[in-house]
Amino acid sequence: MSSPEVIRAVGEVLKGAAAAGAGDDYQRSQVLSAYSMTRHLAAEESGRAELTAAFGAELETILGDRDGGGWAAETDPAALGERLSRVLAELRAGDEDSRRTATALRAALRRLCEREVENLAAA
Amino acid sequence: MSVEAIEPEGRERAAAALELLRLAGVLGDDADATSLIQLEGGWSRQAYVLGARDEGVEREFVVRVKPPGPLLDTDLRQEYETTRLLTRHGVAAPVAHAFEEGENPFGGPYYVMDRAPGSAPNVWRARDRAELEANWEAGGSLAEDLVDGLVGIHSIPAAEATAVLPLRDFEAAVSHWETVQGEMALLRDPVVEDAYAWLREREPEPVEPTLVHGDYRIGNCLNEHGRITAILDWELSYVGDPRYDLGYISLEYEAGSFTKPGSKLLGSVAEREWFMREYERRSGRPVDPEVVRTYAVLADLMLVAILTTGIRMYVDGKSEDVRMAWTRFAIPGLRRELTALMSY
Repeated sequence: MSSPEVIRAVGEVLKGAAAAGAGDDYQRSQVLSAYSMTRHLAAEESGRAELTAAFGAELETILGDRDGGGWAAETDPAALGERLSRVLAELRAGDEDSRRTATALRAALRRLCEREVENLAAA
Repeated sequence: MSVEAIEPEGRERAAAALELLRLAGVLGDDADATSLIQLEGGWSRQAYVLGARDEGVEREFVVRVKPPGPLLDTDLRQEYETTRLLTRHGVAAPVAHAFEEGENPFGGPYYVMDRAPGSAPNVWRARDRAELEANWEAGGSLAEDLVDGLVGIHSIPAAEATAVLPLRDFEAAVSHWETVQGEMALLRDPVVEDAYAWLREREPEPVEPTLVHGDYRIGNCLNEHGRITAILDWELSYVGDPRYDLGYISLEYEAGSFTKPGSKLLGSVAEREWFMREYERRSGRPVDPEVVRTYAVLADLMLVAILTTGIRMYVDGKSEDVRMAWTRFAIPGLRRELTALMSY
């Protein structure tokens, strides 16, 4: 089983528990929230690899060797967030060329955001 | 006074609330509590409905409690005083009677107010959105009330509101949420950080400050038979630029957008152009779409900061409410809306 399939299986158990009506309103809402999380997480996981690869490739093209390069290989979200935040702040304060790069980076971020939401919408 | 009709675990609380109402002169010495029910929901406040019988008359009150470790650590007394200020000005807010901040069975400070009739819609639920859209198609009575409510709130002058609430100009509002975000975030987000920089380049020309609701949407309004009966949830209110409320209510998120699109109507209630035009006409305050856009970005960032706070509380073990972790899935939609608002 893939990770999304495992997550969905856990979610079905939670859905069943909520439907069985055990516990008070608060407990049932907690179980339903947990079920909702499994649906969204499974949808997110299903699209993660493709999304990460596409975004990494875009970053390679736009940023190249900036900040040490290696953008396509950077898959840790915290490290990527740190680096992109730093680079975007530098580009914002830079010359005309930097501002053009910032525009391209923002367009890539917009596409990333749109695809993230599209993936979640499959939940 | 009697609380015999209440389940044993709720009797101390019912007795405390009843006594508070008696001391405030709202209920007589012989009033009885007939029910005490905790309402579902509430991220930063807990709420109970207290039923009481006084000289044969049945009454209902809401007890609003600030529990330990709430999502938003905002001042409950401030909220209580704001509600009383609004009532004096004829704004449709619940009538608040008394505040208690000493040790009590609710486990935190609380105040008691009349229970207003009606219910609040949830714009993230398709059925509720359909009902709101039907109201607009049928003449828009809720839209009319929503505009009037906002005009009423913004008619309260800063001189009066600052006796109760903090004054927060544009820079202070931006800095406030940026600080919250910085302290709570588990990782840096380039879109969010860029949005704060974007805001600082677009500071609007200031206008006369007024009371700002801070969370003005149809989901925070009770309605009955197509009319708004009460505007609730004043915990984010402050004194500042009234155009913040216009930015907030114009977010797609507030029209029910989550991972799928919400209503095309503003807040699921009214056509955007109609709402802005009517607000302008009824308030006499000009509406600049670019200023509204600026405040929409600030409002979006506020929501991200609040959701981020919830996630942080869950991760740090300060809350066991799994909804705090669930909000992680609301942030991508808000981030996408930021990129659209900033024309990325």
